[in-house]
Amino acid sequence: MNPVLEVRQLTGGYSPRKPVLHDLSFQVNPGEMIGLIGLNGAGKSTAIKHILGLMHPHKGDVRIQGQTLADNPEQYRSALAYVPETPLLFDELTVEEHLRLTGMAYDVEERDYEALSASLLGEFHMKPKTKAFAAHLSKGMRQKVMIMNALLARPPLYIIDEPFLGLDPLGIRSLLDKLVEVKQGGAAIFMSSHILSTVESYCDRFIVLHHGRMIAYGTLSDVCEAAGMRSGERSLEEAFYRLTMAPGGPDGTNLD
Amino acid sequence: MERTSIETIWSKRSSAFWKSSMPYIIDMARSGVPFVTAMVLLTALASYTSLLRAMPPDFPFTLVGMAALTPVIAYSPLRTWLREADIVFLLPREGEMHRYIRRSFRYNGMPSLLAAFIVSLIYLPIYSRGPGETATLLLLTAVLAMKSLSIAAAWQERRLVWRNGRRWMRIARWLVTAVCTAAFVQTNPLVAIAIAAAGILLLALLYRSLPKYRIPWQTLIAEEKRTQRRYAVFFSAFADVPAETAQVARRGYLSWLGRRIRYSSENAFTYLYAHTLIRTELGGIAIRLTLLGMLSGWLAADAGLWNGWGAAGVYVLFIWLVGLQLSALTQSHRHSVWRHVYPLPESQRVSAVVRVDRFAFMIAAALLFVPHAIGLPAQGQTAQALVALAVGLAFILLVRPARIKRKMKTDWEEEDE
Repeated sequence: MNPVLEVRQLTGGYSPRKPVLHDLSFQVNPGEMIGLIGLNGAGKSTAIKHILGLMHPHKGDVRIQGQTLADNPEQYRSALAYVPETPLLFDELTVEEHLRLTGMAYDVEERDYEALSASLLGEFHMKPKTKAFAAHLSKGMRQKVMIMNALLARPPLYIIDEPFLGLDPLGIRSLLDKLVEVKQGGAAIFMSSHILSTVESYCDRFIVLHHGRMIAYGTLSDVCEAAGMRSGERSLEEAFYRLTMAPGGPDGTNLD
Repeated sequence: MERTSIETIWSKRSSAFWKSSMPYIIDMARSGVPFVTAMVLLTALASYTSLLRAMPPDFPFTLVGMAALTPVIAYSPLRTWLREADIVFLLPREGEMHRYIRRSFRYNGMPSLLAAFIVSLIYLPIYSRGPGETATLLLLTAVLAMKSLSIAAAWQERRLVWRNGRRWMRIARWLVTAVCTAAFVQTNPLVAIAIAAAGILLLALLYRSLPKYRIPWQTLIAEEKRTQRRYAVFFSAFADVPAETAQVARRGYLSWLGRRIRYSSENAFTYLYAHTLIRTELGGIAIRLTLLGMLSGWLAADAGLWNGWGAAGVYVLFIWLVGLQLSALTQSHRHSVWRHVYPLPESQRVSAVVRVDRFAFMIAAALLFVPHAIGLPAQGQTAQALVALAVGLAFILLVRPARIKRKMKTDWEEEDE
């Protein structure tokens, strides 16, 4: 099976002298959800920016459906949808107009757009807010708009950064249900989150990032094993704690 | 550690604002705005003196006096430099805030009073030819008193708890100001004073009866944000101003234009930029400039200024001004992440800006031409009107698109470096 996303020996950051990410290699396959976890400042958002093509790698490459951004920018970008950590909405567009813009940008058929946007607005309980501007939405609602836009594009790859921030319990449930649905439909999902219990329940594999390095990668058993847990002990939270906090303290100096 | 005094905070913020604006002010000065302003003032002066020389007997003295004086009396802005974080850091010092706000009153009050005084002086030569019975000195005193009361009333409005209350009281204040101004320039001063006293009493009773905050934090923060956005939009016509969140107005009377854009991926950026122009302050300024240009065009064409060539000059001048404002569209969404995430080529964004700019510019040019099309041929100055139109159209259709493309390409290259 060809991976949807393939990251090979990626080293990158804001300055070539001081890379934030060190030699990351992983892949996300169709129908798979990968959870990216790490402490604040571990490099999660930087990794996502490299995948989106907002930052150039110092070394290594990122491929989506076998192509780098330089090979074919339009194809690369049309293959992914992005939900940012902080909702980034256009102040001058209403909720409905954001969906229409996304439909146009991702070349979604007009008829499909009509049906999909109506159903997403219903599923995320946003119908009463169809004509509202970003400034009149709560943080959770803005996040829902971001999520609906990503789902409307129906790409092979979803890049989702901290999607649960500000979402109400119904919103979280709707999002997770939709993610399961698109995953079953063959899409790949790359999701960063601090809600470890949810990540553990929904993701197939995990990447633990610490100080820009991958300190564990694989299934829950693989991560637990990397954390030195006994066979039979299966808890992502415990594994994460052991990997990032001990031994050597929270700065993780022993790992560099 | 000694706490920074509340007055020092105010001063620091004020100087920080002007310090950060200085580079943009220099850019604006370099772009020729002072020259254009001088030209506008000279044209206005020429029209004004020719009006004074031959004042028509049916001149609407009261209406003009009211239209000229009401806005300078009633418009009472307040710069407070307050921001969201102040709800955390300055709120505990609410007891000292009256000293902070007093600085804002002084900062805005003095120039506002001066502006009211200057406009009154400009209006006086017209007034002296009209039916007004109030002595000049008394009229000036009345204008300054009304201005001071308006500043105080605007503060009471800001303090009101309910948004609708604020809105209605502002409308009431403007209406009372208009009626009082009309009374002072039209009737016997005693009658005018009686009307003004009744108006003030009415407003005072209304302000007293409505619930108010001690310091209206949210209102002041929102007002400050709005003002800073306006500066940003204005400066962005001359320089690249870091993106602030836009102030948005629904503008239902124009939004249908955005809805008419055909659903297709080629039109995605056109759809976005059309809404940006229609809904943000950028479009608001362009609309106001067009209306001002129509009014100036009407005055110049009606007076047949400089044999019609003055009127043609006014037309070209406003085309240039509207163009200057519309060019800020090239800066919109320049730093948006979606520009890089959407699967759309950069060239599509450039063509979208060119399309939206041309469409809006053509509408503005047509509207600006209306008074000239009516006024100039009536005086046998059709050639002047046609030359103005030709110059305007040549600029919009031949010079402008290449200029926008060049500007966006340079910006793009700068980002890549």
